[in-house]
Amino acid sequence: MKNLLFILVIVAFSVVSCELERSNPLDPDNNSSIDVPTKISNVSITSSGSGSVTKWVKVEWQSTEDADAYMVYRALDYDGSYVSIVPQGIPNTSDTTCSYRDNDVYAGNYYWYRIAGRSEEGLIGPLSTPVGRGVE
Amino acid sequence: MDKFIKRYVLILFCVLSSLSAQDFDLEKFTDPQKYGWEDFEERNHAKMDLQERQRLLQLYRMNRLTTAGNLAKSAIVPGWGHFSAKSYTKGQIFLGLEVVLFGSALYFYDQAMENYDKYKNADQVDEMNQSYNDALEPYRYSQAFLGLGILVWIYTLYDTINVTDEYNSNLWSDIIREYNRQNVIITPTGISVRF
Repeated sequence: MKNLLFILVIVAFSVVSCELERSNPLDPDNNSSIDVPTKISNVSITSSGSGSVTKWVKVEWQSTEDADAYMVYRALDYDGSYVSIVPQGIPNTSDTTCSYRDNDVYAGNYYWYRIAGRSEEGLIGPLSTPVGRGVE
Repeated sequence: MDKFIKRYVLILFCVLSSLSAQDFDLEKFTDPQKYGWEDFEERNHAKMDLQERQRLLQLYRMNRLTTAGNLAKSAIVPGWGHFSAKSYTKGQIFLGLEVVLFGSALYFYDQAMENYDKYKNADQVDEMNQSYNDALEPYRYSQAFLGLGILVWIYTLYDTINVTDEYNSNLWSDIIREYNRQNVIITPTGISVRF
């Protein structure tokens, strides 16, 4: 009987020692064939002037070779919750700079943007440093 | 001739058998001193005593706890075996500990799985790493509580064996003590009064 209890202790330790598996197929730690797109840099931002009837914010960034497309995220605060505003992504072209014009903006608000490259497999790379602009 | 010899042998056997039967000593057969008894009264007393012991043994067998049965109870609900063996304090402690430990394990596991689901559905590398790291800490807590819970559960099983043995030995002592305290005992053969 005591041997059985000892076996139970061993089984308990083996159950408890199980590690949480990195099972996401897009996880580079799980799938070595996936490359993480590089972080986007040199992001600049412009907006419509105070006299303009249609309001917009334009974000521009330097393109990278390893990105298949780019994702644009927006928030109302610097540390706020960034939401993707182009879910399908902006395809990468051969141009050295890429841009996105956000027309869904309102005067009096301040918008923060972050850009990330998306690989061919669908993995989105690290987000760029936030850049913000107010709409007049 | 042959038939005559057979009949003669048969008669001789019957006569000799009846002669040897007369040697059977009934007094010797029912000798009360055979087992150290002085007389028939003492033999009857011993017989009554044996019947009483059998009755007490039957009482013990009816009320005793089997180790396997009690182990099964404690395996299903930790502390149940202790409650059966009338070890209430230990039973409450073990049951309380298990509720707290397994409850905590479940609470942290639920938190871990919430973040782990976020990790599995994430397609952004930062969110993926953040969700995985957020899942890792509560998962380790849940494992620690689960491990402790299993250890306490195993110790409960081990202690159930000891408690059951102790209960059974105390049960026999209690039955004997109770029997000795009784002045009037009703037995299948009549009523015995002790002064």
